[in-house]
Amino acid sequence: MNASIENQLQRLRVIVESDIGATGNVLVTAATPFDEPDLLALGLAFQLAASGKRTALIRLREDLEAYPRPRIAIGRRLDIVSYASRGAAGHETPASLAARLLETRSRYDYCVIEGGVLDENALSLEAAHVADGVVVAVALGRSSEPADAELVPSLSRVNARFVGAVALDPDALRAHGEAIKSARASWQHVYDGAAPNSEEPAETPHGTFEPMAKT
Amino acid sequence: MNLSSYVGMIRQRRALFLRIFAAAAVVLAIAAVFVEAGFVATSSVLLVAEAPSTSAVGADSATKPILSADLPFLATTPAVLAAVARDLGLPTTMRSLDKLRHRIKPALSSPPAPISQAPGALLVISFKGNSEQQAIAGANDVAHEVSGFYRDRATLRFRQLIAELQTQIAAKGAEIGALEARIEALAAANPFLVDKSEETSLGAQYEKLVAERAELSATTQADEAAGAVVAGRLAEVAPAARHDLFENDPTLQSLRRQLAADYAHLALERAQFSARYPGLPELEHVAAADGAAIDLRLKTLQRQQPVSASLAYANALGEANRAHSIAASDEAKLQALDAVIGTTQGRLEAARNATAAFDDLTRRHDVAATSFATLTARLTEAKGNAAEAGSIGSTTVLDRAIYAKPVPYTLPVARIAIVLVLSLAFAFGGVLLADRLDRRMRTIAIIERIYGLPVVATLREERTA
Repeated sequence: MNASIENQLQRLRVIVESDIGATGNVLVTAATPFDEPDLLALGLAFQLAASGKRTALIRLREDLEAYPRPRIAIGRRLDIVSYASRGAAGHETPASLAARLLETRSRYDYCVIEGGVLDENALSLEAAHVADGVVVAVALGRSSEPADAELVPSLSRVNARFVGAVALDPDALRAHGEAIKSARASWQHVYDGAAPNSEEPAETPHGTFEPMAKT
Repeated sequence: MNLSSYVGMIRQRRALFLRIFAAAAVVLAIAAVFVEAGFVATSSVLLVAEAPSTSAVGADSATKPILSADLPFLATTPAVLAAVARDLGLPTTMRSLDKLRHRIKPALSSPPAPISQAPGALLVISFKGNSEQQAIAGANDVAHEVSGFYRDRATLRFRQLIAELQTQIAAKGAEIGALEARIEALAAANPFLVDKSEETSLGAQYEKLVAERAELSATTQADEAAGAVVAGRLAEVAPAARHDLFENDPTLQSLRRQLAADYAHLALERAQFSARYPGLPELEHVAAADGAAIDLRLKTLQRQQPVSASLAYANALGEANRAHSIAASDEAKLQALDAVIGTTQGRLEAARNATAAFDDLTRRHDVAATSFATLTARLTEAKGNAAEAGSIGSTTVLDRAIYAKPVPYTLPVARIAIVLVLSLAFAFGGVLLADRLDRRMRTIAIIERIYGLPVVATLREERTA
């Protein structure tokens, strides 16, 4: 993994903790897919878990069909949980998202919510409303677009609380994310010995997660 | 944008800067090659720098002949440029003429001795055209126009002199005409100015009149002397004649007798009567009346010429009257003669004045005629000089262009410098323009400006020294 990116992510984690507190949930979103909000959320969750926080990386998806393994425990301190707005039996609605987030949050120190691109995900705005802080990912060197100017006003309309923007190099972050993902298997084994991508109920230190049915 | 930020921008976009600089340098160098490309044709014009002899006329600074140092300038004068542009079918605007000026490169050279022994110069004209035909046509046309313009300049001073002389001749002719008119008018009013005998006869007439007057004056004086003699004689006989008149006057004698009788009667009465006699006063009154009547008669007689009383007096008086008449006649003749003399003298004086004026006019006419003749001679000479200066032999196109050479490409240092400077300018401007048109979010400040959020972290590769 890139040491400098790692250090910068650590600094971001410190900033988030100092802004939100020792526990909380933070939404990571962006105006365009080129800003790599998901990679930033992964890196931030990884750093929170590495710092000893029980962390859940919550993925807000439109359709879980593309993600047949919605709930993945990848370590003692980092779980990946996917919520879907449609296409699955247990899909979330904006109204149910807050309760679900509260429920998840009760079992973790930090919930890092992958908001994705704000306009593309119906759950993102609701998540921004209930999140303790919002981090906006912005890719350096990308041409500005109208969505950039509309992002913050849209979030402000739902009373989102901003931590700030993170200027990132997509290529460097992407390489770092790939390094995290490749190291994920050994990392899981190190911490809980569970088989990755198990379809069995996962027993984690933070609770038992029922796998969502495949469609 | 301040200078430091601009320098920072240049550093940040140095690759773009170098690309723009290189591209501009290549394009400008190619453009310089095309600008330089073309054909050049050369023609030669033989010019006589010194105009033909000017003798004494028209040699002022304003009409000096064209100096040799000025000869190359002839090829790019506005008149030549405009004529060449018209002949080549080019526009005659100032901009077009300025471009045309840069196509013409005149150079001065010495003509080969066998060609011209006269002091002169060989003007070599190079004309650059876009095509071979245009270069040849341009070179020949410039040579043709230069030779014509030079002839025009060479004859300019003579033409100016001719115009000036013609003006002076016209003025002098008008002056001569006016003098002749005045002379004719004076001669018509004074015929003696033409026929001198009349003036001579007028003088003789005057002299004769003067002589007649002298003679008449002498006669008058003699007659006056004779009249004085007669008057003296009359004065001598006048008292006796008047006495005779008194004594022979019966009325006076009768009155004297009556007075004597009255006085005698009065004396008688006084003797007979006392003084208180009443009849005396009446008698005294009668005597006094008689005396008064006598006095009255004496006065009456006194007023009469005693011609009747004295034959001598009558004769003397007649002589005196004749002498007086003669004297009066002489005086009248003298006055008439004086009047004639005065008239004649006036005419003679007027004739002398007219003669003087006539002589003055004639003299001025002669002077003007002499000046007129001089001016006419100068005009003839100036016309001859102009014809000589403008003769085809003094200025001619010695060598016509018959081919044109392609311009060899050269990139002089100055042009290289211009290309480099322009390329740098394009690079600096292009980088600035690219920066202005670049919408990418390259800096934290841009992101904060667009999003309105503080950038709390930056995730990118950190370059280490």
